[in-house]
Amino acid sequence: MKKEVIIIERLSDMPDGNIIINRLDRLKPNPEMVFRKEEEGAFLFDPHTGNLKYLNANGVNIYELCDGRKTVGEIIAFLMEFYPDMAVEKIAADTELFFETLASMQFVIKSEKNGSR
Amino acid sequence: MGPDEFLLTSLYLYLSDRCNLRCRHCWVAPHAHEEGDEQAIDLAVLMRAIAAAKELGLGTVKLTGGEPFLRKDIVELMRFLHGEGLSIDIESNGTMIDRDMARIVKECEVRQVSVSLDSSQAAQHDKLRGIEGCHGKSLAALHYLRAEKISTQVIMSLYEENIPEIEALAALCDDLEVPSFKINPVMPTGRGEKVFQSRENVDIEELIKIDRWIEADLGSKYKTEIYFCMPIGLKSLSAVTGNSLYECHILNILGILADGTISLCGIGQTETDLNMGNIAMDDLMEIWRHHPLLKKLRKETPSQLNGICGRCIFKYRCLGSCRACAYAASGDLRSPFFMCDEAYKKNMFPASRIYN
Repeated sequence: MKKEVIIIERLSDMPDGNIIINRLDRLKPNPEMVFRKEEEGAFLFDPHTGNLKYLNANGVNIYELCDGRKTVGEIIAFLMEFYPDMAVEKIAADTELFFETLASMQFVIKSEKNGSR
Repeated sequence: MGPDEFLLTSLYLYLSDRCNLRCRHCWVAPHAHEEGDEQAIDLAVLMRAIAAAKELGLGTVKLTGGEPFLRKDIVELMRFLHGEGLSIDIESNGTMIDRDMARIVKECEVRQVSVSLDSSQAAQHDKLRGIEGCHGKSLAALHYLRAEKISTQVIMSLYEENIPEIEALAALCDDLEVPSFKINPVMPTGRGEKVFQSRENVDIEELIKIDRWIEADLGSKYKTEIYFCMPIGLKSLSAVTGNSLYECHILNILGILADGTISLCGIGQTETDLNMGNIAMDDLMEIWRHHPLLKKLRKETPSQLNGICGRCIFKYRCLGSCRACAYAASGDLRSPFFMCDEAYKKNMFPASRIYN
């Protein structure tokens, strides 16, 4: 029961600007950001702030799964199948942290079709 | 950002406007040291300015020139800086560093001494540096500094003609246990303008090839770290995400010329429009906080850069590479850096790094 309360609290953005993602969220690329792929990875660039984030090949794959339709939980489940040798807890924690970082930098946003509530 | 939010983290002290070498590429084009006495600022005035700069965030002082060791009271200055707890870096041609000077440098806990070497071959180095015998003296300096366990760097100025010397110099640095080897392509400023006019510089295709060769091959052969100075927009993606890039933090530095003139950096020796006062008469703190040139630079860099620099996704990190060089070429601090401009015009600037 307590766990449920925590999940509900995490649905709101944090006052310090950090955005908390939960597994029911559907994320999509922020159309105002610049996403540029190169051979070994990609860059996300915010032309308003100059923020720049480098994604390695794995990061690119995960970022591209954010299509506004799949939930974070579905993406994590997909990655668990894709990387069967990795600990599931690690996949979940790393993916959530990755999305929280991207969301805090406004590189991904929650889809209006968010089915989390 | 308000004026108080920009820290003055580094001062570049151009201690002498004289030099005992005649390097064909020198970007500040100093006078020959035989040309009579220079107008060197009084040491006490310099010390006062440094103390003021500490209140603005100063942490590092680079001693350069001209040849900084031509300044007679450099030892007193180094001891003062050490006493103030500041990090000291020195850029020198090395010809005046003997065993005794190396000991003083050690005593002052200088963080790094950079010595110029353009070739492993004495004849080629001496030709490019304009004075016979200087190669041997620079090498000797590296030995003296090594004996005192002082961190050193070799700086090579790259022309077309000394490209084959890159590997030989990397090997030499390794032999001499020099931790860092930095390669600076010659820039079209100061005397370097003539190098470009006579097409002795390295063109952008070749520069990019050299950069990738160092990254993929040469860099892993030696213990010495090799830095090839090229704007981040032209570097490979793996280099961009590494930590081994040299970037000019133009918004956090000031230059003080030999006569006390306050400028953006050494460019003030040739581009006097970029000079903002003199530490003998003006308040450094006031200039740092309120001078119109610095306000303009802060407002325009990097958000209003022109050409490819204004369209590059790295502009907030790169700040347009060398703004002094851009100004010298165009008279405009917002103009694009020449290497990126050349790459863009030749369709060699990575399209993935351009927006707008």
